[in-house]
Amino acid sequence: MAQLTAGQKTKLRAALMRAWSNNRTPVAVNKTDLATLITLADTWRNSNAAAYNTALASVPGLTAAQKALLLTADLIAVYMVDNPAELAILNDLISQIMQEGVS
Amino acid sequence: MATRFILTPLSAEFPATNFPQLLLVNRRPVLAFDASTNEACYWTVIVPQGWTGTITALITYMMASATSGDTDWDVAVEAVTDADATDLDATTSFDTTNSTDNTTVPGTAGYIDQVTVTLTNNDSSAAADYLRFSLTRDAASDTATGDAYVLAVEIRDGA
Repeated sequence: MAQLTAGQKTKLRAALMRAWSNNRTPVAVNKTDLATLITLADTWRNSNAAAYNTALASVPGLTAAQKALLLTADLIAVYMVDNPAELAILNDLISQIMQEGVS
Repeated sequence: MATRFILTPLSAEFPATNFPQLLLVNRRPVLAFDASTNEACYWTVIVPQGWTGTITALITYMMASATSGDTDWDVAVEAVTDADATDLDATTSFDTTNSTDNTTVPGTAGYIDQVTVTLTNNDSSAAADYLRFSLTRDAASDTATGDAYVLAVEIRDGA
């Protein structure tokens, strides 16, 4: 899993802002800070990719894409458990990311 | 100072691309201006008799989600006078944009704020002109996240 490019992060920021807007979720950071936060999150994920692979090493067999999807699935499940009142945002965010064409 | 026009979301006109969505928020019509793309809409009027003095646009808006940051607003005027050599079929002729920048948004999303833009560049508008106002959120420059919902725009002159 590589880091997102600057253009991809800009699209991700747009998607996040639209999802929050559509769901009237108060957001207390400005656009510049949100861009910084996305970069920090993406950098952290990338820096810890090796640790994630090491953690899964005892059960081989998944492709890189499958391991990435497993991590995504775990994060979505945890988000749903911790934020049951905000599932609409999650749905909307995925839709917005696809509309933005982050690829 | 006199109120000359009250421009509402339901009377707005839209360009072919990059326009604000017309939404109902709590049953209130709003124009949702995006935070990432500069979007614009128009209103068309005939300038009333007695039009005079400094012209201002008072934009009433609220933020969908942002509780910090600022908004930048641009208003442009296109005035066409009887017998002007302006081919409305094929051209637009907006005057230079008027801007009010760096207006801090309310600390609570959904609270209204009102921003005044002085229309110094008003295309030498005069009574009886066929006139359009263009409203743009300068999302490329402002800092507030999320949509800005425009509820109404009041146009005043110096009468």
